[in-house]
Amino acid sequence: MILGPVGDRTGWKVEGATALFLVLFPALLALFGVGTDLGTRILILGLFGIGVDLIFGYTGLLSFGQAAFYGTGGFITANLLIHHNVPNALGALAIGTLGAALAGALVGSLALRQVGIYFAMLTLAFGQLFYFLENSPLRAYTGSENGLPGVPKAIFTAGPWTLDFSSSLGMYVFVAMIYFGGFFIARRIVRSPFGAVLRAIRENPERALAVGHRVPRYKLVAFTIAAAYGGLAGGLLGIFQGYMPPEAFTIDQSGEIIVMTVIGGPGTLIGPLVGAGVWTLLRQGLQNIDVIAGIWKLILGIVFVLLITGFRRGLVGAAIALAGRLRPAR
Amino acid sequence: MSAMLEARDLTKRFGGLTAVDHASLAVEQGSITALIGPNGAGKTTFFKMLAGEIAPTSGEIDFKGERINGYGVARVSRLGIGKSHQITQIFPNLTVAENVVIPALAALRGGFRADIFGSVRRVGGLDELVERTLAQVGLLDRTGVRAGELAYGEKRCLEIGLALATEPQLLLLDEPAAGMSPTETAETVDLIQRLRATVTIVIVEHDMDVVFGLADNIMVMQNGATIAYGTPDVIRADARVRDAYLGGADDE
Repeated sequence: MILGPVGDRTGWKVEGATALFLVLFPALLALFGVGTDLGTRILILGLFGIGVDLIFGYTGLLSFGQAAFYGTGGFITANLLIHHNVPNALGALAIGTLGAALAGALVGSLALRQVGIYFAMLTLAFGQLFYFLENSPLRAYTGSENGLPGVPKAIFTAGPWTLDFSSSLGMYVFVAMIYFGGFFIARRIVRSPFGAVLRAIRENPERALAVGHRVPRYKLVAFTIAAAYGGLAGGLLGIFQGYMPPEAFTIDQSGEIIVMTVIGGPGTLIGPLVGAGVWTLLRQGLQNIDVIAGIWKLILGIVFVLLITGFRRGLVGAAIALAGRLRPAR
Repeated sequence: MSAMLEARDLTKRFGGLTAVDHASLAVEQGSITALIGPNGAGKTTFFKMLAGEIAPTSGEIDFKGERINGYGVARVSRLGIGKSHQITQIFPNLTVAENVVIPALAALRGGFRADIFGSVRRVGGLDELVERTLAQVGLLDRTGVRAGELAYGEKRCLEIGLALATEPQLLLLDEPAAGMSPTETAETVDLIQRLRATVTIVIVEHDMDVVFGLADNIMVMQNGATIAYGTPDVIRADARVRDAYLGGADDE
């Protein structure tokens, strides 16, 4: 079978290892005296980053405006829950995700008319436009600079039964299950024929077009899916914190998620989670060391520069390369 | 019998420069047509218009009776015109097999499909098409290699493979033997000879041994215009062609 080498032959091993990691992660954090909430936060960023990886790592599209969708999904979900428009968190998340996807389709259909740096600049501009909309015209729905407090926890009732995810560990389990679902779907996407064409577009968009693929459509669908991931993660952020922060819409947020993806390893799907972990834990750790508390940002910056220059394909990319080298030659 | 491809009075102007000036070509099904001429004669521009890569300033292109002006390269490719490029255009970080999968997917499942939960293995006929193409271009033993790591000659073969995997009825080869060693050139000529049984071919080539060995008809261009058209014997005897091209120092 000639298609043997097409895609990767990891089977379900990656999904299995990821599930195992998600189960063990809170215990691992506890070993180092880190609370479960930080783990939840890392998973939310990892989920946001899966979308970034789909467009950046797989399709070669660098967007500086992903916070627009993180915020859109987040504020739609938070509004629906605060005003009890939907019975539970899953319904609100679904609608928030859909809203972010629609915003993604709209922004994508305009920004994707350009390529390369011009595309990146347009996404930046749209990101700022959404931030402005959040802050001024839509302040009744977003609370402007105050954000939206009082987002209800994830509690599901059906008849006499109640499923309560409102504890710290409960919230982790809720987010971990959704992360796993998102990861599972993304793995299917990148291994599909659709995913193969995305990689071809990353490698050589002109040739992908020349052999007959409707490249603009592929880009738009990928961009829309990435926005959906952002929206889902944003919705989870509001539920997890009980508060939807306006910072979700900021350019800092757009930039951070790219840095996390690059540090972790673009084109790996799990890379953003690793990058988010490194980012979040380092940040937390450095701030807690008294001697360097004043200059933690400087140290964090230096660490990131070293990571990015030292591991061109990110931590996960480096690990995969190392594993490949250690495996006995066949 | 009407021609498979008919280009009439194709003209392409870039600002003040007329790259192609009322050039016409009719290609019969099953034939090999060669396009020759000195550097800057407009061959590559003419070729790009046939493939839909650039739109002609004026003139018409009919393929199988359908007017394909302005269709764009992706649609022209799906209609059945495949092109291999003068400068290698592969997917460097994909394996050789994955490279061939990409055009094969366009041929088998169309220009776009959101089969995000589909499986590459379940695309009907893909395996056969990829294997046949790799066998044709002699890369069957290199399937798992990253395309960017191939030797130059192998990359040129893959370049032709990418065009072949679109299952073209008309294959445009822009200097397929450029930069190849004599052995590789001979292999490429063999490949083209074998392909002519199934696909109509138009070739731009500087190697005159290749051109006169393969072509049924030759079109000679100079300064954007057609100066001669005919069988190899006719072209060899044509005084204008000898003046413009064959007798010159440009014969590589």
